[in-house]
Amino acid sequence: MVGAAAAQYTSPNYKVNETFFGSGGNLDNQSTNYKAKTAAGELAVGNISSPHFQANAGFNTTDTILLEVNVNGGVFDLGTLSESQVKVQSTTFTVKDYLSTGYTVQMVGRPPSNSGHELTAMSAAASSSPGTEQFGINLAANNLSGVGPFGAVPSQVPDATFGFGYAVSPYDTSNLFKFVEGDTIARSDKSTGTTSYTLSFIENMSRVTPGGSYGTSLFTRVIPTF
Amino acid sequence: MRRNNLKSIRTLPKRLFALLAAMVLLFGIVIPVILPKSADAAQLQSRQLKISSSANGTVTTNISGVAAAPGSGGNGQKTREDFSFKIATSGNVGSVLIQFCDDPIKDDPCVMTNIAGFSAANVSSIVGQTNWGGGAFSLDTSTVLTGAPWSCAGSSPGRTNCIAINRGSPGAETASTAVTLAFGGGATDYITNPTTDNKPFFARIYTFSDTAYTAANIVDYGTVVGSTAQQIDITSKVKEVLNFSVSPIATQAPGSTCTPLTDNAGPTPAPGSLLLGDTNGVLSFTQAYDAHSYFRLSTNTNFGVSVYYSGDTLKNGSNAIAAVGTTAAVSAPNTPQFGLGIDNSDTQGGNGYSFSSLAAITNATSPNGTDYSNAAGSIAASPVAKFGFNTSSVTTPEIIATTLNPVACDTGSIRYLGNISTATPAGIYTTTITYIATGKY
Repeated sequence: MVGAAAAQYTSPNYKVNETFFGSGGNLDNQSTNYKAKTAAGELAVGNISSPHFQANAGFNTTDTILLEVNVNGGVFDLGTLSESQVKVQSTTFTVKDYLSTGYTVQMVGRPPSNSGHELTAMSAAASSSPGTEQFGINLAANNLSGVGPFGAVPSQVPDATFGFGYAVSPYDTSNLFKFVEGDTIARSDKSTGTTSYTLSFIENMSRVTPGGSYGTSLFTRVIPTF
Repeated sequence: MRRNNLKSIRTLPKRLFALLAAMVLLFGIVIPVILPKSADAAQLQSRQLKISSSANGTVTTNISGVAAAPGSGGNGQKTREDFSFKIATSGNVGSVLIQFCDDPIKDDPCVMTNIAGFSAANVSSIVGQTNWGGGAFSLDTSTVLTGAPWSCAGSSPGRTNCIAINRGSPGAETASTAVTLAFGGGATDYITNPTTDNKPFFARIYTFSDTAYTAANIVDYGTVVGSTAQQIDITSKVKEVLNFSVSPIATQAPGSTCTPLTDNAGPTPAPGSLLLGDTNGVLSFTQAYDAHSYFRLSTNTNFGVSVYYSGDTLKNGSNAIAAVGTTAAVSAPNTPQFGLGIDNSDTQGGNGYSFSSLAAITNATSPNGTDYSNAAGSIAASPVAKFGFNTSSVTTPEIIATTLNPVACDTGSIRYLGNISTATPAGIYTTTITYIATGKY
C-alpha cells in the first residue's frame, strides 16, 4: 500500500518546500534498520533557476541546507627565497553548497612574516617580479619563467552540470597575483555541487627583505547565502 | 438465506477491495490538497553568517607562533559572527534566539555531537545590530533555556550553543528589511569555533512576537551555516645578506642588481691601489693633492650596518706624514697632512657617491668627535673640505658611515688629502687602508 507523501507548507503567503507530482514514492521509508527515499516516475529532475527563482525538481530532493568545505591544508614550504627567482606552491580546496542562492570564498590571514616584518602583499593584481618583495595568490593555471606550469582553473565535480563555482577576477587570471585579506576570490551564484579550486601562492624577495624564517597561516572562509 | 449470505460474502470483498484501492489512490493524490499540514513560520530571506575566522577552535597563533588577535582571520578560539537577513513577516518582535546545532532542521533536536568544541558561552554583548525598527535588543543571559523546547546546552541558563536577545517590550519590524546582528570578536567576548577542521555548523535563527522565546509565538525562522577549514601554513626563509665591494675606481654602474665595484686593471696604478699626488704620485709643499676610492654596499640587515676604516698614515720607514687627527681640518699646504672624509659631490655620473640609507659620520655621531661628512669642496685657496684621520684605527677600526636600516644599494666616495712641508723627508710613502662593513641582525 503506497502511503501519501507529506508535503511541507508555510503561510501566510504560501510556500512549498517539498511536493511531488508523479506516479508514486515516499519521502521517508524507514524501519529500525532501514531508511530510504523512493521515487517512481519522476516527471522532472534537476536544478531550475533564474536570477530571482530557484528550485530543485525530482522526488529525491532535500530540504536540508548543506555546506561542505574541504581544504587540503598543511605546511607548504617555499624554501629559501631568491632575488632572481620566484618561489611558488599550490594546494586545493573544494566547496559544495546546497540549497543556497550562492556563496563567496575569501582567504583570511596575514602575509608571511618574520619578527614583525610582513612580506609585501600584492594589493593590486600584478605579475611576479623577482627582486621586488611580493606575496600573492590566485586560482588560475599559471606558467612562470624558471618554474613552469603550476596551478589550475576551477573544475566541477563530476562535471559542469553539477557544479557552478568559479574564480573571481582578478584571481582568475593566469600569472597575475594579488593578496588582500578578505577579498572574494571565488563564488557561486546558485546552489551547487562540488567545485574544486587550486590555490597558488608566490613569494619574491628584494635586496632589503630582512633575513629570517617567514611564516603565516591562511584560512578559507566560505559564506553561503540562503 | 445462508447460501445468499455466503454468496454475498464471496462477492463483497472484491468490491470492497476495489473500493478501498480506489480510496487509497484518491487519498494518495488528494491528501496533500485536502489535508495540508499546519503552517510553519515564514523563512528569513537573504540570510547569511559571516565568521571572522574559519580556523578551528584550538587555533590562536599562526605557524610561526605569532598570536592572532581575537576576531581576526587567524583566531578560531575567539571569533566574531555577523548575521544578516531580511525580515519575512511584518509585525512585533520581542525576542530572537540563535541556536547552534550540527544539523539545520528546525524540528530536529538541536545537538552539538558533530561540532564538539563549539561554544557561545563567552558571548557577553551584542557587538552590532542594525536596521531593527522596533528598538535595540539586549543580550539575555538570565532566561533559562535549558529545558524544552529549546534544550540549550551548558549549565543553566544554557548558553553554550544559544544566544538569546530580547527587548523590554515587543517592537514592530517590517518585512523585507535587511537587519544585522553581530556577536563576539573580543578578548573576553567571543564565540569559539568547533575544534575540528572542515566542520560545518548551523545556526537556527528564530524571531518571536513575545520577549520570552515562546515556541507558539515564532514569527520568522531560518538557518545559516558556517564551516571551519583546515589551515594552509606557508613557510620560507630569507638569508642574511651583506654585499660590500671596494675599489679605487667607480666605473661600474650599480644597476638594478647593485653590481659590485670592479678594480682598476693596472699596471699603473696597480690593481687596488691609487696615487696620491701629481700624475706621478708626487706630493708638493706648494699645493694640496687629493684622490678618491669607493665602496658599494647592500644588505638586508634588520638593525642597520656601519662602515669602518682601519689603517695608518702615509709612512716611509720611520718617516710619517702626520695624520690630521680626530679633529677634522681643512687643507693647509706646506703642513704635513694625511686625512680622509666622505665626498658627497663625487657622483661620477651615477657610478660614484650615492647614499640613500647610509649617512656619513659627523662630529656629533662620531665616538671621537671626528667629522667625516664634509670632504667635498676646495682644498686649494679658501679651502672648505675637511678631513680627519685616526691612527688608532690600526687596532680599533674607525666608523665613517652608518645606518639603522637595510641598504638597497649605497655607494660611498672616500676623498684622501695629502700635504707635505719643506721638511718632509723624501721617499716613497705608502699606507694600506682597509674598509669593513658590519651588519646588525
